[in-house]
Amino acid sequence: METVNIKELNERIQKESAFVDIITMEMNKVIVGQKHLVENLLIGLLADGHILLEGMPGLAKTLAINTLANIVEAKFSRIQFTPDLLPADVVGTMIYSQKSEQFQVKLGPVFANFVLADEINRSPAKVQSALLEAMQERQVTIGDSTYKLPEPFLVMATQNPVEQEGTYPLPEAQVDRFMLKVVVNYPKKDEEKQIIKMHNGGSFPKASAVLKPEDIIRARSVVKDVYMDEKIERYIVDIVYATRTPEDYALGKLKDLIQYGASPRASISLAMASKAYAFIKRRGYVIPEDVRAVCYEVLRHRIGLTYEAEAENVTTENIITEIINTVEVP
Amino acid sequence: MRMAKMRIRFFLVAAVFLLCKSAFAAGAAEGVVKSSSLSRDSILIGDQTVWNLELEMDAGDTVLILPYSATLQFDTTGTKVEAVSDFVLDTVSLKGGKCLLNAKILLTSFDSGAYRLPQPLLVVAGEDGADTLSVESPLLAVGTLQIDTAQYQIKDIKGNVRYPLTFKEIALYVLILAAAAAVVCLVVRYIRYRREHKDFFGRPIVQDPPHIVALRKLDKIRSEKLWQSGRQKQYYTGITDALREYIQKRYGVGAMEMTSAEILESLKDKQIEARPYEELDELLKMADLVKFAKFSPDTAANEEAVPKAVRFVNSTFMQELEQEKEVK
Repeated sequence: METVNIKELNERIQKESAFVDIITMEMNKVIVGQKHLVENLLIGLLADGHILLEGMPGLAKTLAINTLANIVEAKFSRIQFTPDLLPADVVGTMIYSQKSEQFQVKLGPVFANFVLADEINRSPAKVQSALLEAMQERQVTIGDSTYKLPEPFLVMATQNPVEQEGTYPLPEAQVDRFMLKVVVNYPKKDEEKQIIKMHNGGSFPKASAVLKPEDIIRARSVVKDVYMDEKIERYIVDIVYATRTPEDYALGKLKDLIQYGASPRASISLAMASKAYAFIKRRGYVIPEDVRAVCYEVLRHRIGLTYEAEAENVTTENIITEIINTVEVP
Repeated sequence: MRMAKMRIRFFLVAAVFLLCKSAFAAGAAEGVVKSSSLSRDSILIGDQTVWNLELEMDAGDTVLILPYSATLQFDTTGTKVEAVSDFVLDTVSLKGGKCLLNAKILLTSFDSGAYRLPQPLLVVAGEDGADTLSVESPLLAVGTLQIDTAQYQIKDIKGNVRYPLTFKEIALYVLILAAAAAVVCLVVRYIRYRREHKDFFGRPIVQDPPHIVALRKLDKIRSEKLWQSGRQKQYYTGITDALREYIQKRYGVGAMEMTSAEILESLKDKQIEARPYEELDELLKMADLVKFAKFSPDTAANEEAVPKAVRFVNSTFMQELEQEKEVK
């Protein structure tokens, strides 16, 4: 049996994950509270997965993403999605140059390390598709040429759950391309008081650029090396399968509430996010706690609810809670 | 249909052969038709009547009768009579070397009129030849119903006549229902008793207390010498499973569906003494390393794993006993 020197593995992780504290510290300088949001942004960054942020307006979603981009000295671009936005406004287009009498390629804002797609559900499906294709393929084709997107490439999209008029909800197939869907909640009382103090002070702290894109790429390779035992893999598969065939896991009551379960992409995302979480926690191996910690973010947008569930006010979070409370932990 | 025609042909050929034989044979077998009568010589269409023939012949001779349906088929006089069944022979008496036979046939007709019944072909065959018997054909009158067209009234269609069911007819269904009811009762009883921790006959099942179950399992794990044979993962999985099951039964927390950290968190308010709690913490953490990080603990740690688990079980059990005493 192959054995792993856990001490050596943990030492390597301790060394490589030192920047996690720096990022957290810099983020905390600007963002008050929202630890959950910051943690999930880090998971997405390390697990090479795109993030969809959902929350009421004014909860520092955009500020958090902006700050993360500032911390990593990387190219950042922000696209404000509006109903009249066109795919070419996102990926780029060919412009005729009168000077050279030739068509020239004008790359769109998607050619950046960090892309903030603000209020993604305000644009029609064709614009969403253009961005989501780039997210999946990591390349964009303009005219006859294909252009690779820079590495690291991370899309962080925000959407507002309240406004329904004039919005275009993301189709299930496109939502599935986001590794995590993070729901941002209101800050606590103390945190809000601190926000007011900071605001009244007039001077807003700024995060310093402490990392380079190469550091992120290197950290990602370390995250991939985090050891995941077969037992954990089986646990992940059990959780995902329980969303598809709940009756096989003594969860027959959920059968009529789930329209469709999570895809295999969810299993991959759950595994990768668990590894990233273990890395953040300075561990060289994944334990069931890691899986459970990222379970909601990975699965909440991948489970389809029936009308019956909606009528009974059952949310995907309720279903995930039932599943993780029933599936046996290895 | 084809088979029936072939049979008729066979009988015809046989009859002709016998007739020929009887014509050439001197002193052939003899027989006589003593009577020929209909049970009713006048019937309504669709009614049935029985044609009785009494034959007398030498004992030991054989009588052959061509199927009457064939006779009717080849009849050219326009007799519209049908044979419901064919001739059935019955020996009436056997006296003085003579045999008296009775032949019966059931006839019907669906056309009104008067019909002279065609003669059946009767042959008596003996050792020395055969003889054709002559039969007096009776007259059958088939009447029809008179419809009074002057006072004709359309009447409702009558429903099927329903006869009362007999017990014999429903006995099978009653038995099946009774058997199904008995099975349902037994299943319900079994489930109810099972919930009440009773056996099938209602006797309470004695269940071992959680600490006994856990200690038995831990003892089994120790005796299997798993870590000595390199199966450390199985060894620690067995120990933690036994402990989780024990915690689930003892404290009523869903330990089987909890992670190590969650188990420890859920036990915080259970007033467990510090030492066993710490040992459980160490053991679960060590088990997580072995189970999920391919970690190989040293011999001392492996040897100490089961005793730690046993100490946790014993101390929590003893603590509970003391608490129960205090309550009393």
